[in-house]
Parts: sequence; C-alpha cells; structure tokens
Amino acid sequence: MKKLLEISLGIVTSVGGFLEAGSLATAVQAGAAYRYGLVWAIVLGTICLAFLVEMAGRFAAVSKHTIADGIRERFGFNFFLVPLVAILLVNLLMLAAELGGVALALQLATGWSYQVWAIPVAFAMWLLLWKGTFGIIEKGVSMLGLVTVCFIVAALMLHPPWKDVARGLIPSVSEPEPAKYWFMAVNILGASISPYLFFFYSAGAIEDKWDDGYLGVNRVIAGLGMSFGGVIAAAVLVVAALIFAGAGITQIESYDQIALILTPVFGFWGFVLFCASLGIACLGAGLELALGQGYLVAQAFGWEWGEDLPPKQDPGFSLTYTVFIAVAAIPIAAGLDPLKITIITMGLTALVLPLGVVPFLFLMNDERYVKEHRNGWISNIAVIVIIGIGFILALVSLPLQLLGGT
Amino acid sequence: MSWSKTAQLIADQWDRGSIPTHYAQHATASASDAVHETLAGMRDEAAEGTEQAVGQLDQMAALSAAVDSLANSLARGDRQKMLSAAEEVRSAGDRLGSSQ
Repeated sequence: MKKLLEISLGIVTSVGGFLEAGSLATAVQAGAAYRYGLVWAIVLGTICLAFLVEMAGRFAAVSKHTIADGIRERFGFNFFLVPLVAILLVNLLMLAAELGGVALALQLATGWSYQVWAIPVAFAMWLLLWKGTFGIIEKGVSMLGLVTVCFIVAALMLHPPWKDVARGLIPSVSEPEPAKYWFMAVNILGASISPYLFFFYSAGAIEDKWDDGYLGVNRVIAGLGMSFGGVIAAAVLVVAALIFAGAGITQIESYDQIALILTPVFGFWGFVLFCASLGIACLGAGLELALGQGYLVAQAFGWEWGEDLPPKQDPGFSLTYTVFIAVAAIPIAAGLDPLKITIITMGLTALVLPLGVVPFLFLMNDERYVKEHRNGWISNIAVIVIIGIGFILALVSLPLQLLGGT
Repeated sequence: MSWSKTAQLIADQWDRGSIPTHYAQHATASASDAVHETLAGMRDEAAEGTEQAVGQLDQMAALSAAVDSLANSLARGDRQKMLSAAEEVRSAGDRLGSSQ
C-alpha cells in the first residue's frame, strides 16, 4: 500500500513538474510555426528522458551515490570539472529563464514589469529553499503544477485532426525554412532532456533514502510519469498549432503572444490558467534548478549537502544555491528577454548533454556501482542514439540559425 | 505578419472580455513596436533597391499605421475605435498578403 502511494505520488509529481519555461516555449513556437510537424521531437525527448530518469533512480538506489558523486569518484575530479562547469553554466541560464518565467507570469497578472518582479521572485525562491524541506520543494510545487493539465483539456476541446497529429510522429525533410525546423527540434530535445532533471532525480532518490526495494517504484514513476508529462508538452504544441497557426500567427517571439494560447478556449479563465501554469511551472523548475546547482557543487567538492538539513549544517550547499539565484536574477532585472534566454539555452543544452550523459552511461554499465542492475542494450542504444541525434542537430543547426540561414 | 495577426487576436479577445486591459495595452504596444521594426527593415531593403520591398512598402506602412491606431485606441480604452482599427489591420494585412 505504501509503495502504491509512493508510485502515485511520484507519477503526479513527475506530471506536475514536467512543464517548465523551456518545454512550454519550444512547444508553442513549434506548434505555431510547423503545426504538428515536430511532435516527433517531443516523443523522442520524452523517451530519452524516461530512460535517463529511470537510470538515475536505479543508480542512486543501488549504488547509494548521486550521479555527480559517481562521475567524480570513477573518473576523478579533473575529468569531472569539464561536465561540471558546462552543466553549471547551462543550468544558470536555465535558472534565469525560469525566474524570468515566474516574473513574466506576475507581469501578466498585475501589469507591473517583469523587471520589477525579478528580485522579489528571486528572494521568494531563496526563502522557500532556505526554510523549506525537500518534500515541500519536490512534491508541493509539483502538485500545484498539475494546473498544466489544462493544456490537455484545451487540446481535447479543440478537436485536433488526429491523423495530422499522428503524421507529426515522423520527421519531415520538406518543411519550409529547414534550418529553423531542425533548430526547433534541437530546442525541444534540449528542453525535454535537460541534464538537471536526471542529476536532480538521483540526488532526490538519495534524499528520500531509496534502496534496491525501490527499483520497481522507480521504473513505474520514470515510465508513466515522464510519458504523461510528455503528453502535456505535446498538448501545448497541439493547442499552439490550432490557436496560433490557425490565426496566421506563425512566429512566436514573446510571452505577450503566448499568453493568448488558452483564452480562445476558456475565455478569461484561460488567461488565469496560463498565468498560473507559467508561474507555477517555472517556480517548480527554478527551485529544482537552484537546488540542483547546490547538489552539483557540494557533491563535486565533497561538502555536506541535503535540503532537509538546516543551512548552518551545510553552509557550502546553501551558499551555492543562494549565489546562483542572485546571479540568475541579474539579467532578468536588467531587462533581458526571458524567452530569448530560454531558446538560446535549450540549444546549448542539447550541445552539452553528451558531457553529462556519456560518463553516466559508463557508470550504468559498471558492476562496481550498479551490481547486477547494469543497463541492458536497449537502454544504452536508445540513450546514445537520441543524445547523438540531439548533439549533431545542435552542432549543425545552431550556427546556421545564429547566422540567420534557412 | 505574425504580430499584426497577434494584434487582431488581442483586440478580439479584449472585446470578449477574455483578457485584462493592462495586458491588452502592453501586448498591442509590443505588436506596434515589432511592426515598426519590420517596416524599418523593409525601408532599408527598399533603399538598397530590393524590388519586393519597394513594391510592399506602402502596404506595410498602412499596416503599421493601422496597428498603431489599434494600440492607441486600446490605450485610451476606446472600444469603438479599437474595433474599427482591428478591421483596418485585417484589411491592411490582407492587402500586404496578396502583394507577396
């Protein structure tokens, strides 16, 4: 009974915590520009994330190590520095994007500029981490994130042409502006498979004191939770295709446009639901990212860490998330567009993914860590292929897109 | 074109009471800025002699003026003027679309 409750809670928190600034913005842009033509990228990203999250939980439960601990121990600190710095930088940009997302939700709701909200939001995030427990951060905010299920309801109410949606499961080579098409695919993959998600998941499994007995729970949560989460992201894309592309709005450049996504379906409550979805989803992701930065740095240097410990017992860990939150607030307070930060960061994420994933795959095949629970060939191949596709697409499309090519 | 269509959608949703006035005003001002930017880009291209830009400059200027008018009438809360400006945005957009 206890396991069933944990599975239900795990699935609910996975679903509620799936959508964040990156997955929301990239799905809206893709739906507006290519209708259902990029559904396949969401499916691919979700499959890869489910595999990685399952591995992260299995690794933590069996080895009693977080991924960061494992990489540092197995490959040495000097090797670990490379993925550490790359992931910390990408996570910092992503944290700024999420913080900007919360500030923008407040701007939409109140009319006060997001720049004004940047510092209060940063302070609120910090206070939640300083005073809160892991349970509040992980489960509380993710539960509230269930509001994002409204995108599935909206998609169903709009009666999409399911045959066209199904056609989007296959990548197309004949879309207009191919550089933009593949760049968007990279962004969706980057948004779906952010390294912080599985690094955070493994640290969470340690915080929750998982052991071998949780392997089944972990598998179900990773499989079902991520799949339902992927359905929400796909629903966002479908609604964007029907609302924006249907109205001739093919280019989404601002949250001022995105905020209209639910109003044709739900009227004024659509606006309220969008503000709530954006604010809560970004708050949840921002908290996880800030905590994730604390975990990564503390684990890299062998410091004491744990969200449930009082800050005076893990000062390095607490100082790390404090500094990252403060730094992330600067570009938002200065007026940088959170949507632009989000889109650039998603592409960069796909580029740095192999740095974190490849050493992790070595760990997942090392009996010293995972004993008889090593990866099967399906897990290894699925992750290598999807990460490889994301990396190559990012390598090719990022420069093309930045140079303005089509 | 996406921004002028966005301005139309905002006008429609505001008229239905689906979005708050402060948001509608801010978003139409953003739309106006974005259309101005496109117009400025088109003027540069026309000055360089790009044939398509020369041919569409007048329609783009008309579209920009219509979006400005929509944003201004929304800023004043003038529903009637806003509705007629939205109609003008629609027809200016159609004229620009058919010239492409």
